[in-house]
Parts: sequence; C-alpha cells; structure tokens
Amino acid sequence: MTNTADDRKVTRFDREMLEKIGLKTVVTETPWTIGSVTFEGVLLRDLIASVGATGTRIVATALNDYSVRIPAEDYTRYDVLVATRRDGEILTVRDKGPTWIIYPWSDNPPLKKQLFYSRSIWQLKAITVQSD
Amino acid sequence: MVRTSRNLLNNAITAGAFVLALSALIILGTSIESTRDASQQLLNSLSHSASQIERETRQLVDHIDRFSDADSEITQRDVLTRFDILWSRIFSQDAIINVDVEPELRRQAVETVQIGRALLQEIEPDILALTPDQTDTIAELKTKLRSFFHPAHQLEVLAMDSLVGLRADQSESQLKSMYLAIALLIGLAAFGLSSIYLLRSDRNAVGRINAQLEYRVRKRTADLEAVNMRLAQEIAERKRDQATMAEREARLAQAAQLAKLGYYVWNFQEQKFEVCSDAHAAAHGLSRAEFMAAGRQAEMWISDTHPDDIARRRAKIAELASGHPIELDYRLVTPDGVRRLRESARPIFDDKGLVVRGVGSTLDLTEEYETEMKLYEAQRMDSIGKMTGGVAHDFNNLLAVILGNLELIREHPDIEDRDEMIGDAISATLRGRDLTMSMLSFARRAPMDPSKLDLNTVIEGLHSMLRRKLPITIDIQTDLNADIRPIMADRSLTESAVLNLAINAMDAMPTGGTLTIQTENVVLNAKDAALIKGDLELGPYVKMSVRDTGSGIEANVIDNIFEPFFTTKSITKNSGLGLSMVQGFTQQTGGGIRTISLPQQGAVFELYFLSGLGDCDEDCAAQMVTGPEQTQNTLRVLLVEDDDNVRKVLARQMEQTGMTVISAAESSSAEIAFAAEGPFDVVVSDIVMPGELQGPALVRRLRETDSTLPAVFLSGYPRDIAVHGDGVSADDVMLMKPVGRDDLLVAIDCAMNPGRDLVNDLTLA
Repeated sequence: MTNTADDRKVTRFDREMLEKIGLKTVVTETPWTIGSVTFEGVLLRDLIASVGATGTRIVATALNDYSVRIPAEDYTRYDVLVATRRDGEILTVRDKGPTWIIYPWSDNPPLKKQLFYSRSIWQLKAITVQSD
Repeated sequence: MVRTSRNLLNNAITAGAFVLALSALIILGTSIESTRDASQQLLNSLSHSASQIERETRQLVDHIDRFSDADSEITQRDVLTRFDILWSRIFSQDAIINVDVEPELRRQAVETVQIGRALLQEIEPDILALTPDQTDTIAELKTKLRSFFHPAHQLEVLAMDSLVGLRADQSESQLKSMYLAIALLIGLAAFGLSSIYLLRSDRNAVGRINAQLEYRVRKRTADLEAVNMRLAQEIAERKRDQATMAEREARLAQAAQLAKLGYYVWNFQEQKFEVCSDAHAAAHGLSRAEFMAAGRQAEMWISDTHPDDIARRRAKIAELASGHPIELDYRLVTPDGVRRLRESARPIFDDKGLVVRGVGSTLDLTEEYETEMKLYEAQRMDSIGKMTGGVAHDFNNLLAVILGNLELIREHPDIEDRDEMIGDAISATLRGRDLTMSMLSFARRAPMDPSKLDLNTVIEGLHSMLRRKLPITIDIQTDLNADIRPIMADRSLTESAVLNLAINAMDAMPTGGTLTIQTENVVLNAKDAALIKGDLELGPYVKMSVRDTGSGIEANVIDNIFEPFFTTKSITKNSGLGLSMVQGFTQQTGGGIRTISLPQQGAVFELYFLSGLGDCDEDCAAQMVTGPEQTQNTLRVLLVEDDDNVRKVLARQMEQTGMTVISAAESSSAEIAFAAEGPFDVVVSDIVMPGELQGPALVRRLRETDSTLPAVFLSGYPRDIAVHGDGVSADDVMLMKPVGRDDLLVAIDCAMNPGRDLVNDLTLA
C-alpha cells in the first residue's frame, strides 16, 4: 500500500496483517454472484487509517494491472469492504481474490449503479492513496 | 344527424386523446426500459469477459513460453498466478451463463466456458508440475491453450455481434419509437386538427347562433333604446310636469298666502289629512305638523269648533262625505280666541264614484269680521251723532214754535192771531210726532198699520199743507189718475213720505220751480223692475212720482241719498232722515223706489206701491173723515200716568168731554183709588211706570175685582205696543204717545165697544 502524500511510503500486507486491522462483514448481492453473499474483510477507511494515510482518493490496481479510482467520499460515507473471505472461505485468485472491493449494495440501493460496479475491483493487489 | 356525428366525433376525440396519452406514457416508459440496458451490460460483460479470457489465455501462453526460456524472470509461481487468473475468468462466468441472452450466443458462451473449463482442468496437473526443461509438455500446453484462442475470440466476436445487433435493435426500436412518436405527433396533429375543425364548426355554429343572438340583441337593444327614449321623454315630461307642479304648488302656496287662504285634503278612507297648508293649521292655532297629527281622527278636527257651530259643521261634513260640495261659515275656539272661518270644500271621487277625498279651502275671516265690526260700530256712532244733531235741531225748531206761540198766548190771551198761533203750535207738535215716527220707521220699528188707501185722497189731503209749507216760488201741480187702484199702506207714513219728498224737492229748488205729484197704475215688467231699488215682484203697482225742476242729484252721491242722515244740506237745516225714511217705508209696504236724476233739469222720485185688490171701500174712506162720536161724556175714567204734565193734559182732555177722571201716578195709588172711588167704566194706563206694578200687571190686578174692566194702554215704546199677553186681553187698546185728544177718545170708545174696526180709527191723525 503506497501513500503518495507521505513521501510515497509503501506498506506491504499479507492476509493475516490485513485481517488484524479488524474483520467486518457485508452481506449483499452482486452482479457477479448468485443470491446473497456474506463477505468478510477490512473496511477500506480502516485500512487507510491503519497506515495513517489522509488522501482524497485511492487508485486500486488488480493482478492484471487493471486499475480504478475510488474517491474518499465513497469509503467515508459507505462501509466499503476490502473483502478477504466469501461465505467464510478465503478468497483465492481463482475466486477473484486475494482481495475484492465490495460495496454494500443491498443495504444502499443508490449504489446499484454501473459507476460503483466498475469500482468493485477484484484480484486487488495494490492501493495508492492520493491527494488533490 | 349532425348531432349524432358530432357526438361520435367527440367520443372519438376523447378516446383518441386517451389512447395518445397512454401511448405516450408507454413509449416514455418502455423506450428507456432498463432491460435493454441490462442486456447491453450483459453483452458488454460477456464480450469483455471473452476478451479477458482470450487475453489471459494468451498471457498464460506467453508466461509458459517465457518460463521455458532459461534467462527468463518468470517463475513457476507467476505461471500459476496466470493460470489462476485465467481459471477465475473461466470458472466465474455462472452469472453470465445464466443471464437471458439470445440462444445462439448463450449456447456459444456455455460451450466456450465448458471448453475452457475442460482445458484448464486437463492442463492443471501439468502446470502445477511444470519446469522449464519440460519442452514437450510446454509445447503441448501451448498448443492446447492456443486452440482455446479461437472459441474465446469467437465468443467475443459473437458477443460483440449481439451487442451490435442489440444496438441495431435498439436503433430499430428507437426508430420504431420515433415512428411511434411521429404517429403520436400525427395523432396529436389529427387530434388538434379535429379539435380545431370541431372548434371551427362549433365556432361556425356558435357564430350562426351568435349572429342570431346578436340580431336579437340588436333588435332588443333597438327596442330597449326606443323604450328608453320613450322613458326618457316620459321622465323629461314628468320632470317638466313635476317642475310645473312644483311651480304651481309654489304659486298656489303664494296665492294662498296672499289670499290668506288655507287649504287641505282630507282622506275619508284613511280618516286623515293628506295635505294641510300653514294657513289652515294656523287658523286652528296649530303648526302644520301639529294639525296633521291632531287630525288623524275624524272627531279631532272638528273638536275645536265653537259648540254652537259643531252640529252644523258636522252636518256639512256629512254632506261632503255623501258627495256634495259645501260652503259654510263657522267659529273655532282656539287658544288665541275665537276665529271665524269660511270653508268651502268639494268631494273627490274614485273610479267607482265613491267619495275618497275632500278638498277644501278655508278663509280666516276673523280679522275682516273684527274690522267690519269696528267699522260698523264707528258708522253707528257716526249715525247716532248725526241723528242726535239732526233730531235735536228739528225738535228745537218745533219746540221753539210751540214755546213761542204758547208764551205769546199766555201773555196776550186775547191776541188777534190767537187761533193761528195755537194751530201752529199743534202743527209743530204733530210734526214732532211725525219726526219720531220717521226715525222709528227708518229703524223699521214703527208699528205698521197698513190699510186700504186711496193715494189720490192722501195727496189731495196734503195739498193745502204743502201749499202752506212750500214757498210761493214753487208751483205745486198734481196729475192724479182718477181710476187709481187702492194701495195697502200706513196712512201716516204715506203722508210722511209724500211730505219728505216734497220738502226734498223744495230744497232742490231754492230759487223756485215746479213740484209735480203724479199717480198712475202700472204693470211692472222685468226691465223696469231692475231699475227699482227694492225686491219687487212683477205685476200691478201704483206709481207715485214726485218731480222737481231743480239741480238734479249729483252722480257721485246718487247711491248715498237713501243712507240715513245723508244730506247735501247743512246739518243744522235737516235731519237727513227724509229719504231713508221713504225708502224704509216703501220696502216695508212691499214696494220700491226709483230715482231718476236729470242734471240741471231736475229729479224724479218714483214710489211703487203694491196694488190693493178691488176698489177703495167706501167705509174706510168715510171713516177717515167722520171722526169719533161725541157721546162719552159721562164715563168714569181711572188714569194712571207717572209723568205729571202728561197726566194733567190727558185728564184735562178727557174732562173737556165731560168724563170724570181719577188720576194716579203709579200702581199702588191707582189700586187705592180704584178701591175707594170705583167703579170705573175704563182704565187708561201707561205701560211703563215706576212703582210695584207695570200697566198690564195693574190692569190684571184690577180685573181680579172687576173682570170686564176695559183698558187703554199708552206707551212711548213701539215694542210695548206689540206685546200681548201678560194680562193684556185682545180687546185692550194700545196707544202710541204722544196721544192726541181724538185718538184717545176713539181708543176709549174702542176699548168699551170691542168688535169695531179699531185699526183705521186709530190711524187718524
């Protein structure tokens, strides 16, 4: 995890480290799954706070180098999850792991838009916190 | 028909509008339906996934290829990660596969995923155990994986095709939507046009109706204008009328004010005044408002009438109520005193002929009456003054004659002209009697003793007297109709009238002239009657004319000559009673008088006497000359007279004839004398006396002793002569003072011999 506002400080996490920040649960439906799914992981804002970063957005990058921008108001306003487990099972690369950005769609219908679906990046490998 | 089609059209438009609105809603709703977006998204995802699968497959082939190269940085872990990524791409497409896309695409997708899954499961053991030196395995893996490029690409292309087809469909559907929109527009246009047409047809219809309506409105407006104009004219006329009315009312009020005339309108049905002028109310001593309020009840407005006039006034009001015009004078008792009103009113009828109102005017005569009374009083005082002067003068003259002659006789009892002097004195006394008779005649209180007279005889009897009285310069002529009819008149007054006219004529001829007395029978016609002063009925009259040749009568005084005490002579010369006596006399006898004045030629006085029936009877003519019999000289007479001189003269006159006279000054001494010296043949008594009893009462007392005692009454008041009863019997004789000897003897004779025609005898001078 890279904090561009803090002299490009880079913090590396393994699953254990991530989950120590505090596991949270989001139960929701997604366009890519069937039925209601229970995701577990850390809240994106908790993760950013854990490294003392204070950016206005993040750039999230997947294993295949696909990347999206997520503005800070998304994860401050909503419980946006960096999921590590799906229905109790650890997410593997084959299951869109190791981590997957999950929005709480079922609890917040306004989120059920292509904009937020596109920000729900899976096989996430790196986050860069940026400021304007 | 038109209405039916219109209804249909209306219904169609309503339905069309409804359908159009619904279509618009459907189009709006469906053209942007989310299912298409979802399909597009799915196709996008599918295409994307297919490209990802192809891309990841190629990455995996690339990684395996590079891993086989000894110099490569690619580790077996990197190859595994790539393999897992590809795995995740192929095995996590359940959502896509289950999505409802078109069957061909779905079949291709499922087939591709199944091929991919089968491939990955087939090569997984080789990948996990792969080392760079396994050249064959690597080549085999690469071949197997490259075989998957085509289906993956195929799926991508197919998804893209579907996407394009979907977009084409979308365009088509958009086109359809557009057509629908156009149709909608056309529909709307048609709807609009239909509406416009309808509106226009409606407007045409409305226009026709409007035109009819406007025509009617115009016509009605024109009618209204005409009516308005008439109305305006009427209003103007009414205003003019009102102005005229107001002017008339103002004039009426002014006229009423000037004339001091009150007016009112009484409503008989409502029993109240509708109109009342100030003057009318003022006559009642009230203001107009007070009068209107007080007059609400019929009884109220006559309640202030003088008690003596109420019955008369009520009767007149009833007369008015029954529809007759009325006129009456009456008195009102008001707080300011008694007012005298003259009221005239006429009834106003309604259509049915009922009396609804009474319109009346009142004239307050109070002031005029008072002025008249004052004037009358002043005139009366003036008359009394003139009369007193005139009478005093005449009497003084007469008394001077009597006194002078009597004094001469007393001093010279044997004077040569003794008999003439005595005659003059007697004559003067008789003239004095005539004078009082004249005054009483003027006052119309002289006792009239009308009898059948031969006017010629009267005139002839006066001739010698006139000749003595009139100066020698005046020639006296008579022109008497021998066949003159008798008249009914008082002899004495007739003689007085002739004398007065003769004296009047004498005065008119101070330098001499001719006096002509003429008598003739006339038949009065209407033309002549109009010229005569007095109310004469037409018919036969005896006319006596006394004509002089003097100066005539001035035109400006001809109307005054008959007024009492009017005289053109000096007040010291004449009483002014002459002509007024003549007029009073002629009127009393039912005749009249006419004056003809011919300035510088003389004047004619014509006296008209009612013609008596038949000829003059011989008895009366004979009686007039025979005089009383001289056969009563043994009678015993009780004389009661309070005036000593008169009593002495009367006693002497009677004693001269041989009567025995016992005198008494008043009733009590008369009673004593009657008792002591009776019996008496006759009592001669004054009527008015001092003492206990008056003449008639005394006689009544005496008759208690002697019930058949004849009585002769004497009085200076003509009123007393007329009074009968009170103890005076019908056979008693009344004598007017002064009493001549002969009159007294005749009266005594009459009283003692009732049944004789006394009247003629008593008129003897």
